[in-house]
Amino acid sequence: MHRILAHLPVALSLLALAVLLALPAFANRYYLYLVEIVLTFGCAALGLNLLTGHARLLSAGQAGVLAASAYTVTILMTQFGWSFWTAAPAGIAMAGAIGLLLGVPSLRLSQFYLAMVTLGFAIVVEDLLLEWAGLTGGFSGIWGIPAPVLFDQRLRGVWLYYFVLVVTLAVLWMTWNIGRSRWGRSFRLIGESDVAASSLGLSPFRIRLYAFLACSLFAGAGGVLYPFVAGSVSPFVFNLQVALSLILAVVLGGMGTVIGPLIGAAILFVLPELMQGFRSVATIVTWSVFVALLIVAPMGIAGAFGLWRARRLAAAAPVAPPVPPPPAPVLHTGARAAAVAPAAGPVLEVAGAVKHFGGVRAVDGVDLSVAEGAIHVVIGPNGSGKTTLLNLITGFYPADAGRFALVGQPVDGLAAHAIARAGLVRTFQTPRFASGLTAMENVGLGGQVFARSSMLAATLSLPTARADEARLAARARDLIAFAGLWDVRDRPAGALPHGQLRLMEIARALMLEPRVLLLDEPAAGLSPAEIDHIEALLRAVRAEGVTILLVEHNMRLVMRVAERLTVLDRGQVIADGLPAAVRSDPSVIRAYLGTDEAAA
Amino acid sequence: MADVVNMILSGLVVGSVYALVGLGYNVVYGATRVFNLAQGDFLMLGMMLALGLYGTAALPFPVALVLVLVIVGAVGAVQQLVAVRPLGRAQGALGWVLTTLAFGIILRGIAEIVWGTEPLRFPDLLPTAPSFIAGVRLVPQEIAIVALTLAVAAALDRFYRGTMTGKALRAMAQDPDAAALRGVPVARMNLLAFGLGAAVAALGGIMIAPVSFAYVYVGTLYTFKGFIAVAIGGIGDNRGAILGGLSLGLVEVIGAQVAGAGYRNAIALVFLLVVLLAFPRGLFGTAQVRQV
Repeated sequence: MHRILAHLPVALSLLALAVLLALPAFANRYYLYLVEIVLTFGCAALGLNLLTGHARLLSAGQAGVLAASAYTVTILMTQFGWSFWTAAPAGIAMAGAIGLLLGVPSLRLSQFYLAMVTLGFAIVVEDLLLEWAGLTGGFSGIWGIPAPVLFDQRLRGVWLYYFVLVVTLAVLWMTWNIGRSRWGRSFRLIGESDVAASSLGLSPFRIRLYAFLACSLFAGAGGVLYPFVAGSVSPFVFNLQVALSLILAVVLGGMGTVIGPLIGAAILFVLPELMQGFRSVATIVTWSVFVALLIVAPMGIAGAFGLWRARRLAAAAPVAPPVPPPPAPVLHTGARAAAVAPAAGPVLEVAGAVKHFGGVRAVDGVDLSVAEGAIHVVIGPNGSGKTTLLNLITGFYPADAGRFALVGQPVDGLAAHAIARAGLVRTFQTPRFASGLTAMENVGLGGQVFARSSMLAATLSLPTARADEARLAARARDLIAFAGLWDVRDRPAGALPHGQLRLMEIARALMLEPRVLLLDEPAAGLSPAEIDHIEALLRAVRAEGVTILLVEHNMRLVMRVAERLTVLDRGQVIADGLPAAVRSDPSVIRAYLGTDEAAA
Repeated sequence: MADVVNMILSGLVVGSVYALVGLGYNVVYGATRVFNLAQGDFLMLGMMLALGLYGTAALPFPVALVLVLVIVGAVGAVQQLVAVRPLGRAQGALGWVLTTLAFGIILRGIAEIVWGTEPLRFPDLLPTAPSFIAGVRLVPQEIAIVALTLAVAAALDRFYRGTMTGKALRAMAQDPDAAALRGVPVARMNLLAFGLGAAVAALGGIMIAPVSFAYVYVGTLYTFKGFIAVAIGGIGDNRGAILGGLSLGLVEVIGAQVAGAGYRNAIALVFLLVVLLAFPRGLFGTAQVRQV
């Protein structure tokens, strides 16, 4: 049973491939046409899966992008006499241009902006195809498109079928490559938390744009095939309904899975053929099922299959001997700190930081100076402005006033991801991560800033991309062992307890080789044993030469690790100095315990 | 000169309906942080139900009006119950983007079965024949649309500032958990927000039907145009929704005059993209601080 399950996906894929390859031997032209349509729209669905399944953004314009590519190819071939092999890249380029045009204005904003802008695009495409009748043929579209020629063979009939199949398999391979590359993992991260991406030096806008660009380009690939499969292009086959069917295909097939979108496309582009005449009822039933699916089984068909298989495998698996962690990893956590000359002055300096929320002076003129290599702790009662200060330093809130400098270099006004890249890396009070990725993959997300290979390299699985992946994995392996998470490295992060997520976030932050590591209440909600673990980890990090700025409530931890202590109260620094001196400072005692005058 | 005035007037009329849909978005978003993509289809539903009750069943208009608003409001609440509430938190924004979109399509499917797929003539409410004063074209029904939009905005403003329910809705948006602790019945307030938002959109549908047609496929267009109104105005800002809707109406009408009627939606899209590039938070809205 276990053996069968382990090989089931490969077996099923090979079976499906064999059937598809053999299909012309026994299926008539109509069935071949149906399969070609499924594969053509399947390319667009595979692309949409990168956007919707991975990055959790929605495009309602995928059919419109496909149309733009299909019309571009058709017009260039029929009216300008281009050959297929020059028109096809132009069609795909058109799709990419539309991706940029719609993506750049909308992707800096909330997720639903892209959904709305693409919805508008879907409406406009139909309008323009009718309006530009001289070019597009208006209502009747364009007929009589010459077949592509490859090695003197006209691609029509069976040859066209195999051509469409090969292109779709290539698209499948490429989307699979992207999905499992660092790009796919960063899509998954912004799908759950773009704040986390910023904290790791990754620009959420850029990642979203890459996701949408990939999504559009694969729709362009589908568009290149369409005119030859259908024999014509006309405006009404690319309406909003088709775009919505593509969304359905991705969700039904399984968001974020490899093959799911093709399964979904097979169902959604064959079913309507069988249900013509019941259009309205079919619409109601389909979309009701869709809503139910999102609520009850958001993982879709392929996702459900994967879960079922994983559960059965886990139950049936023989106990594997545990793999020992890598022996005493050499971390070079502070490599960047060591590479540059030690700071003459403070490594981090804050002067006159101010942040007001309405009438609340959350941070009200704070000065802070952190010495290189120290564990500097900021404490203060609830609402004293500690976390806000950390958000100001790391660029998550824009400061109303104040200067922030890392080793003398001003960092204020920079975007959060740029500050992280500069070497000020933070963790969160509530861990933010990609729950579907394993602990080790999550840690690896922190090292993406050092990867240089392009998304194209990842798409084609080129050696440069594979080398980047290997480097990331090796370093993530070291750091996950360093953080004491070796035994849970392959578990999905969503299944880890809170304490281990904290450690995972610290390991992930260390991937960036920070100059200063800023921790936001890492001990909150942890057991004493877990806090001891955090303490040991902090000491080890400190030993690597990384400066630590710790915002913390837990006084036991604070007094054990603090080398320098700053106390905030109501947005202002009320004490600053060595822990022993600060502890006996009367104003500190007053802030924590209150006095008669405070009570009055 | 009169031509220019007429153009501006017709821009304001169209823009008012966009603004009403935008107000509907804000009612829902302002309380629940959900952007209801079925909003245009609620407008459609209001339109078609009014046609049925006032036109076909020949009920007195005030009775029909109240019935339509109550019915569409109830459907909005049902949407919250079946398509938004059950979503897991892990689904995030994508969850409600997908389910509210789907709900709109389901409404459209039902409307197709009941009312068919042809545009239907809607009986007059106020006179729809124009009268000309110095060449300026005045249509009572159109003037009523603009007036009603402003009245709805004013009423919403009083509701949010003046009543406990209104304040509770606003508090909920800030922090649902804290609001619940303070005794705000969050579950019921969610239903109210969705119902109220749907009813506002339905009102737009009833008002526009006599000067256009009652048609089951208008929803998507209004979903999009209403979004532009709030995106330009700053999401959550009712004054912005009015200004955004009106400016979109003007841009569309003037643009269509210059480029041709077929480019109307394209002009709206380009207008949206340009504004988003230059003013990501909208022309009239205020920036929001992100929570970390």
